[in-house]
Amino acid sequence: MSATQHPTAADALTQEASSPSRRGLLLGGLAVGAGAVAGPALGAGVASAAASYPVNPYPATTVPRRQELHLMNRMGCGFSRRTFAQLQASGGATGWIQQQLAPAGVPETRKARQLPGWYPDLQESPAQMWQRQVAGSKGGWEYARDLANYTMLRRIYSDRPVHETMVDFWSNHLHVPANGDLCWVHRFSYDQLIRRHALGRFDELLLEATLHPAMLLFLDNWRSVKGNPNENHGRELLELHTVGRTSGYTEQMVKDSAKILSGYTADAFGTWEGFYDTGKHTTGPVQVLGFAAANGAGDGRQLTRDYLHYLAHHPATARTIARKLALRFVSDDPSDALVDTLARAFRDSGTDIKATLDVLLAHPEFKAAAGSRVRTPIEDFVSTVRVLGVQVAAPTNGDAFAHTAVWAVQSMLLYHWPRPDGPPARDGAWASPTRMLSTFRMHWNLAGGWWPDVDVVYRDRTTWLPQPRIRLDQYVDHLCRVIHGRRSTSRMLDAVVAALGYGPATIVTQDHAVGSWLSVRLLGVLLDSPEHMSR
Amino acid sequence: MTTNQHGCCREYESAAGLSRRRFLQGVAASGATAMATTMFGDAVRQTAFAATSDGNVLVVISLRGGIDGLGMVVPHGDPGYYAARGSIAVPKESLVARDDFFGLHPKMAPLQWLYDAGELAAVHAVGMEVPNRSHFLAMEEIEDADPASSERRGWVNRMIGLDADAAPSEAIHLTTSITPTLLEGQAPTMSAERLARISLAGGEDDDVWSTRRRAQLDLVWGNAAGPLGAAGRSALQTVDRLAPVAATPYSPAAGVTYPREWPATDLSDALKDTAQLIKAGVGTEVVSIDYGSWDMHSDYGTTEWGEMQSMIGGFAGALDAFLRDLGPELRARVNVVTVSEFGRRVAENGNRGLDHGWGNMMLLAGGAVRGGQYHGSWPWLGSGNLVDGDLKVTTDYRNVLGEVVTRTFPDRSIASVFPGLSYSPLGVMR
Repeated sequence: MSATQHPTAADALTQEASSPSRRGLLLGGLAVGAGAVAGPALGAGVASAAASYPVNPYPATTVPRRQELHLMNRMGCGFSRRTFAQLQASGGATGWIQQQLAPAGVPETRKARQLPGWYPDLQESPAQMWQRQVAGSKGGWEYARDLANYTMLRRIYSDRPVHETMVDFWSNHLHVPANGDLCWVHRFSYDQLIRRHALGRFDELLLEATLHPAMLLFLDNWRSVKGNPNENHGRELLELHTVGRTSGYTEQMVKDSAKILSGYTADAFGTWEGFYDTGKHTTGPVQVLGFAAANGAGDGRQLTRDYLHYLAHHPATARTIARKLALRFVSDDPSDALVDTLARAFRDSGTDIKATLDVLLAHPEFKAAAGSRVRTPIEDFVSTVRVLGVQVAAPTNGDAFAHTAVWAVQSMLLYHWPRPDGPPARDGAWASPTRMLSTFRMHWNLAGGWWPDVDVVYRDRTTWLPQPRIRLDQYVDHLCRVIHGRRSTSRMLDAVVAALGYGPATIVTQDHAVGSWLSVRLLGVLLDSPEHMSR
Repeated sequence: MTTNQHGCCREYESAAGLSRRRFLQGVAASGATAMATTMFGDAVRQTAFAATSDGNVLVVISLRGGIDGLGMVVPHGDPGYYAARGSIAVPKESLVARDDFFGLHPKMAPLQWLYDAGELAAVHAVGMEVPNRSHFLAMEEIEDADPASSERRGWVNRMIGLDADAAPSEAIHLTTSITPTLLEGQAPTMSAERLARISLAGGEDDDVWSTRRRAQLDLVWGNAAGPLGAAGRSALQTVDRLAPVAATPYSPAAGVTYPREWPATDLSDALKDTAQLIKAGVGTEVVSIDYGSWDMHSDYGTTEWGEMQSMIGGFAGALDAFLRDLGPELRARVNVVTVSEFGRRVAENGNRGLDHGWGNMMLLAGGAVRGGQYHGSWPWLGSGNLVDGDLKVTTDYRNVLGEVVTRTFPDRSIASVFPGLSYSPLGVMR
């Protein structure tokens, strides 16, 4: 590209009216002679400059209050103009979150209601799915991707974003990989189970999830035989799903846990349906953390229900869940006081998830944690599609956005974490250099409308302008309000100037480079930023 | 040894001074006291050898899906092999690099020269201490290689974390952008389908826009707080270090052509990128590459047709080109090792394929490999010797990796890379 085709620093400076800003720019290392080509001069020196350009507000584009933005980003699927409008319509933060915590009362969007129809194969019976894999017409990994795509689009288009977030939370806590050997045939029905209970009671969720054939197949309980139960499920139930290692259970208790669960199995390679087989139940006395039973009967179903209820209500389980909620929604290192408070709320309410969240939301540590957490690549993708107003349409072929969204994320596929412990929630796990470069690429693909590009409508790049003619500094403020849900900063404006080579006073129209072909570079600055990549 | 054994085992026994029974006891004995002593000793050693950077490189090829080690490194001297595989056994006469007991699949012929030069070896009956026949759990375990810890951190990550260099380009995974478990962990690493993908979106061209893009990102990330800020700066450093290499067209050494045809394509690309990285000398210590699938429950085939001969042909062709491309001088600094999550059943199934098994083989190539021979302790394939129908594991795979690591990076502590391992090298490296 030659300097005659594109603006140079000199062009930018001639359009710059504000002298203090100009001085700042020059101090920043941009002191180029007339006629010098802009590129090399806009080097690293700019980075060392202190904020130089003042924000020029565009107040006509309203922004949420800090706590409102925090709720949308932390508890929902991210800020968007639509969610902000929904929040305002419900009277603000409190009204919105209370509506969201009772999702049945929130009318779902038309698109969210259409989504199951976009993935009709997910409605097949497990036996049908297995037959198709054996016949080679559709593999388990393809069903797994259907579920991942379906779920991400729900997060993008649902008007119940808090419910979607809690579905993610419990799917990770009671993790069953969508592509796991054997268990994949039941993964969609397992997802529906999680959805039903995501804001209900944990004891009910635990009972159903533990005995669901997806879990029985994943953690090998279906293989248990009388007298020699497979320990995998019995152990993970204690270690991951309920009381945790610190509760002090012994190896003998792990064995007893497996004994209790034995009998629950599935007709693998047949109908795949789950059922109880008294011939597989191991009898004999069991004792797990104060739960004791003679276990003399061949039918251990009532015993199992009692055991799961006991575990769900155990104080150690309350701490496990409290810590996990605090980790997800507050910080990597929540205080003991917060965890104690949440654990008490969880127990006092009889494992009521909504009641526990109410306490969490009212806690000062939650309120003080705004904007401090790293968005996972999937959360980032969902948020990016939302703020860019990308309109995904029903898929007509395999290249459709609705079928390629899993790849567009450029990271591990949703629900594909290979181990029983579920994907990590810690910030550090999602802050790697690979992740940064991959997410930057995802941002640019979406901001440019380049890929995925089938069965999708991207916003026309000229429609981002809030008025036909606008100064660049005001335009940047407007875009920050649309993309980040908050006002611009000087740093963001400086970065835009550095990226585009135009000064803040530049008048942008839809015929101007910034209003048209440079829009991807402008949006890219805002997306590839801590403001957008945090929640 | 309680069973008759192959020559390689006698050598192993004299080198290691261990009987199989003692070896297996050693695997089991990982008491806390012993481990602490070893770690302390190694910590001292590590200090003494600190800050070595001699340009050595380790290439780990993960043969995904569970390769049939018995079909790659064929125990033609064991009648149990031919008895178990009525339709898919590889005939003795067709084997290459053949000694009196083992030989390589005929599609490995492109690597005969390497075997003859003493730079290609195999270890047999190798694997994890305890069988795990689930693909993804076995991959997790074998790459995490730290059974006592619940932390998800791979052995390569632990290893590169032991030196002062924190550059993500120290360990690079090619062929997929998903970081495999062996690289997963707190030390920064890079994963990309191709070297050329390690680039900055919007900053890849040699023009003013790329320069501006870079300046803009410095402004945004230069002082950004928290793990995200650190990752942002680290990513930009990586691009600075690797993007110039990635953007340079690469020409292999004269006379070397990497195979283009499937199934060699992706492996060829990755190995060509690896050669480019090695020659560029940008401080990359480990390159991880995926090659598979080897999950041949059916369509295994014979030496004439089927997936096994096709996949091995792709493997041998690409590896041959890579090692010729490096030339003898660079091969002296580069070691290649293959890992697979499990081997396959000894007996073929009703579909003339092979189900998930246990014991497997590992291939080693490079200038420091004690090649031209087969290593390990052979447990035999008769019915009384199998474990649930599988080849028994007589060598903990971590002992092979441990030796490769020690030879490639002498300054790294084995006790830190493979915690709890009772390290007993077989003598697979010179």
